[in-house]
Amino acid sequence: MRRNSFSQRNTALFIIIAIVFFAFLNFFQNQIKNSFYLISSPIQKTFWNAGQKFYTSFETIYEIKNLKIKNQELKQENNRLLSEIASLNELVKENETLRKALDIELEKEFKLILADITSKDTSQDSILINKGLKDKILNGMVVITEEKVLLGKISEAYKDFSRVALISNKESTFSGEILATSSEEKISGIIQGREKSSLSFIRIPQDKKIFEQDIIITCALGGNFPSGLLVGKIKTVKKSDTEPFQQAEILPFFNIKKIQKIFIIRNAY
Amino acid sequence: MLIKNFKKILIALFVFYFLSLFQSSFLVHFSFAGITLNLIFIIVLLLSIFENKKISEQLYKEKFWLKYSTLGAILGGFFLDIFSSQFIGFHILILLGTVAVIKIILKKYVRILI
Repeated sequence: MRRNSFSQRNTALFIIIAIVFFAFLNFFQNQIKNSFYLISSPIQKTFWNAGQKFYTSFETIYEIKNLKIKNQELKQENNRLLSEIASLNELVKENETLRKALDIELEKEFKLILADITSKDTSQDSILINKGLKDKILNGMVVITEEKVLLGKISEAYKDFSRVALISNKESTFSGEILATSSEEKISGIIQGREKSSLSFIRIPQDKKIFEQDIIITCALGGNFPSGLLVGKIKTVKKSDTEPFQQAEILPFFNIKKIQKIFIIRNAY
Repeated sequence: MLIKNFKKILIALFVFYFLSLFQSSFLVHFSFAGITLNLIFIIVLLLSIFENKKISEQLYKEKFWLKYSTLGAILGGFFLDIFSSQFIGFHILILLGTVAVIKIILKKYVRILI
């Protein structure tokens, strides 16, 4: 009985010491995490590449049965895009003429830093990349893919690594709009992260017409991200007469499992 | 005795470190509906349910008062915290809480007949 209470007392004491110890560790969190990432990065890279290879192989096997339907869909989309290119070419010519007339300088290209993904947080939508403060990466910098698809923002920059909070992270909120031709009306709203690689497009006025497959891009309204970056496609539209706004579910353009390289924008604005 | 337990802790340390790397870099590619298999959580859960009474008594005799499940929760939680965006201690607290809840349920409501 006495021995049992002694054991319980010791366990309680150990747990208290452990809590104090781990709380103390948080003061040096960045240094500790960076050291662990530095030691683990070769193993993580190997695991990441192996995971990507396995995923691609399994996906190919799984997708074979849907190949015919997908091919048909892609052909239709290709035709639609070709007609859009034709109308955009007209706009480019018009734009160039106007720029010359107004003597406006061409928009400067982004200065980009190339990085690799090392790991993904299993409980939240955030990833770890192999560039950090040493490579002049700072908190808040915008991260995109090579196709100009918006991935997220640097949330924590360590010495050699950085953590990127994906746009699907529950803390991510920014302004977006539906990609429209010059004749169409601009429809903007707020894009909110829903975790598990899903996004919501909210605060869209009831009178605006939005459709499935509409493309969402960023707009400079909130000042979070540069305008014109691709976000995703509308998956489903939720409209209710009792609500003042309508909302939609967005399917992001990025798939973390397939991304090889990412880019950090150094001069977003 | 101390060296024997130190060896056990060291092995547990490597196992949990390896598992945390494996699930954050490899298993994330095989998430279903956005949920990734959390091997550390499963192991701690199994440890706290099936922790052998004899082993626990043996550890008790050896005056090693820290149970395997508690040790697993601390080490596993620590590595989960390192490879996540949470503060150090977040997963440790969750896992310790889970172990405590399981132990209470097993002690109060489950009777195993041998």
